Amino acid sequence: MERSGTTEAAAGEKQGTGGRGPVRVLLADDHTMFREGLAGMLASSYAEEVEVVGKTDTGEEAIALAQKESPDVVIMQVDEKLEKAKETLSQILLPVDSTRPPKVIILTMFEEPRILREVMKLGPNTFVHKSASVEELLSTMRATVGDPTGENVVMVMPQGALDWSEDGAGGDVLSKRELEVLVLAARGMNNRQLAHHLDLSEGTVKRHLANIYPKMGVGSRGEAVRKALDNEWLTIHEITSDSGLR
Amino acid sequence: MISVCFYRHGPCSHDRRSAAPIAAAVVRILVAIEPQMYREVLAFHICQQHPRCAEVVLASPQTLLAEAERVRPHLIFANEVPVSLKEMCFWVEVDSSDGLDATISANGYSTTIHDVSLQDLLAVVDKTVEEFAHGA
Repeated sequence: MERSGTTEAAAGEKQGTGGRGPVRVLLADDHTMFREGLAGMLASSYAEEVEVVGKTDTGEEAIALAQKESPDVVIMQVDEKLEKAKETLSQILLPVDSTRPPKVIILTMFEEPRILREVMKLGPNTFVHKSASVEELLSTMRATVGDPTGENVVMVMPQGALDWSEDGAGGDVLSKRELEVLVLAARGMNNRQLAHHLDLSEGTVKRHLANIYPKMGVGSRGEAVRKALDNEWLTIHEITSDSGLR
Repeated sequence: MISVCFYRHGPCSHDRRSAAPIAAAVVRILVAIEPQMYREVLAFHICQQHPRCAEVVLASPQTLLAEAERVRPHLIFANEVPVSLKEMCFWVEVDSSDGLDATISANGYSTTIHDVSLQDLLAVVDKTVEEFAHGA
């Protein structure tokens, strides 16, 4: 994202989402073929759902376009230039004129938990590996946009790419059932879905969550997931895989 | 990760799994570049550009050889094209390790493009269609 390059802001009036109109997306990726191709694909096949309001191959232009176009979502590549990406992210996520900052979807070819954790600290809650499909990218975008609280962490990562940590159980802090609840919450399930999946009542699920937060010193499920990942009580593998549950 | 590739309006002839031989009435293009998102995007645009005369098959690098044997492509897009296949068809090697560079070999013509664009790759498809569409 360092080279100088093209800035192509889409014409057209701004329109917020709020459930109306397509999601306004800014693409920031320095692979020209992919950037152009994905923008064309979205415009052609997903026009009712997505409007690409700009695309760029540099961090500087991504910041400028984010301020000018106020997109709902920024789909941003993060590669080995991590410091540069962090700088760009911090600028994009700064609220301007009381406008809510966009949601950011991180696209990456990296699978290292350390990198994900560092980026996550800056605010993005959505991570998609480029080995995912375009449809999976769109699914994560729907989940991210549809989460008004921004509390859920949404990830699509290759199964088994992120290894379990040696002390990944968190068993000293949370019970086995509480860890199960946390994994499912990390997958984006709401209380009703959690209850159905675990064959529990919603009240019991709420109680488990209410027990988890003070034990972890957090105030929401998003914070709980982040802290569990930071402390390696949970792994991406657990979140993205069906194995290890029940 | 298990993922099924599909597009809302459907690609042209877009086959990943069928064991049946591909009909030889069109130009056959094997897209096996990594990551998956890139090959889906490229395949989508090839299908859009040549809906009637290009048969696009997606493969992973792991299944490239087997799919090439089954499909007998006129053109291959891959990160690394095996030498044995380079002698049989036009090919494009895409290297994503630093930027996105492509080495193109088509009909005796060979070049390397740094930060390859979609148009660059679709031009190779055009060339292949020109060359083979009527004689396939």
